[in-house]
Amino acid sequence: MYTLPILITISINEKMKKFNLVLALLLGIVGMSFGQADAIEKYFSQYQDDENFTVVYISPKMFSMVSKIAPDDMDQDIKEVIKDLKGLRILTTEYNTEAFYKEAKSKINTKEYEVLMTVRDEGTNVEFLVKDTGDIINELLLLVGGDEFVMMSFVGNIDLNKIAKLANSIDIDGMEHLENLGDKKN
Amino acid sequence: MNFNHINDLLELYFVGDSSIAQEKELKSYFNSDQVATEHLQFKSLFSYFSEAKHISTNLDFNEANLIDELLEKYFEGETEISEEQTLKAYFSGNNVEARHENYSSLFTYFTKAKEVSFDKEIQPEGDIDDLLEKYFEAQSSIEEERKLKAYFNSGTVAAEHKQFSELFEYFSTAQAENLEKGIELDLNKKAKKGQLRVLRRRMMGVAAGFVLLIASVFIMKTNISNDDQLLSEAERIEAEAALETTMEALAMLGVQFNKGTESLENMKAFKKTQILKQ
Repeated sequence: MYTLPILITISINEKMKKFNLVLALLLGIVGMSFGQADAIEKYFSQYQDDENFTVVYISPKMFSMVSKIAPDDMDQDIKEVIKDLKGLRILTTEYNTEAFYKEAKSKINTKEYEVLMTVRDEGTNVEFLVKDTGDIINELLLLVGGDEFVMMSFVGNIDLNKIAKLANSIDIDGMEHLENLGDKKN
Repeated sequence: MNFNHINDLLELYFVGDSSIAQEKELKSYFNSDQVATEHLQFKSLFSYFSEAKHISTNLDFNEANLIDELLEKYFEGETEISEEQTLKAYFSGNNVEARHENYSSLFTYFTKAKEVSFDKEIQPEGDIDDLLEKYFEAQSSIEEERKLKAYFNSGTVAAEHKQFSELFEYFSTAQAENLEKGIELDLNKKAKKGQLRVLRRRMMGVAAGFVLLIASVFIMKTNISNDDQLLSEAERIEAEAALETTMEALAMLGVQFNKGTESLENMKAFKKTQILKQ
């Protein structure tokens, strides 16, 4: 959809070879401003059609709608975080959890993604990774390997302070909620 | 002298039948003050004759026998041109001696002969025809062609030559065309200007392309962030489902996050005790 006007402009300038180079650079810049592919999109698109996997994708447009219908009486911390989210991808499976976890870790480019935190607790490995440009975190990647393999990618303006607040509010009912999640998936 | 008599004399004179005595009579009449008005037109003619005679009379008085000597010289072929001219002037005058009269016809012939050659120079039509023939056979020299050009450029072109006058006029204008060679420099300038214009057009095209690109980017970006419409019912349901999923995801995130921070909390407590100890 975005490439059409770009293609048109290329054809106009076909004769100018020099300008083609400049144009290519410009297009690169333009392309970068349009939707950065998150980790799951990049590395794990092959699994998106695999029946053993549960795949969830929430687009930026959907998030704008979500923020509209969010009730005013809901948890403010959560609301704050949702407000800045632009995309969410979830990839989860109960098969070969360790193998997938290892594969995911190896595939992720450490230059792009920085490890924020690693937790190992009762046979479950958890890893938090972030991708940031300067001071702003663009993507938060969560990897879980244990009883189940989970890969979650949050795209948007991510503020770690807000996430910490959110975690705090969850802590109180946290364990219960986690059990609920497990039940739903079964 | 009466009027009619003068008229008779004039008649005789103009048919060339007047005797010298009669001509003398006319001369004296015109020299007098009693010239009739009808005869006044002829007065200048006869005054001329008296002057001419006056010249010749000078000759006669000063060198009476000179003519005899000159004649003798002439018939021996020993006269110079100036002497022959003297003889000629004498014989063309009216005061030729009786004994010289049989030679007068000889010297008047020479005058006439000279006049004939004069005529030839005025109208050299025969020459022009020869030159034209040579020209059309491409055998004329440059000098001859110049003669032709001068002839056609003059105002006196014969009727049968008029058809060629345009041809020779063309040659003179063709010569003039060389002046226009100077314009080529201006054409070069114009060509350069033209090239500049083409370049400018191309630049305009490229600039237009860039503007188009930037405009499209701008439009796309504004499209994404433009969402002031109310959601439909279906969209509502979908959005709610999405919200739920998001909250669950965030919950998991929080839980895992807490696992990590828990250990940090332990560290904090550990540090405190350490400080206390010290």
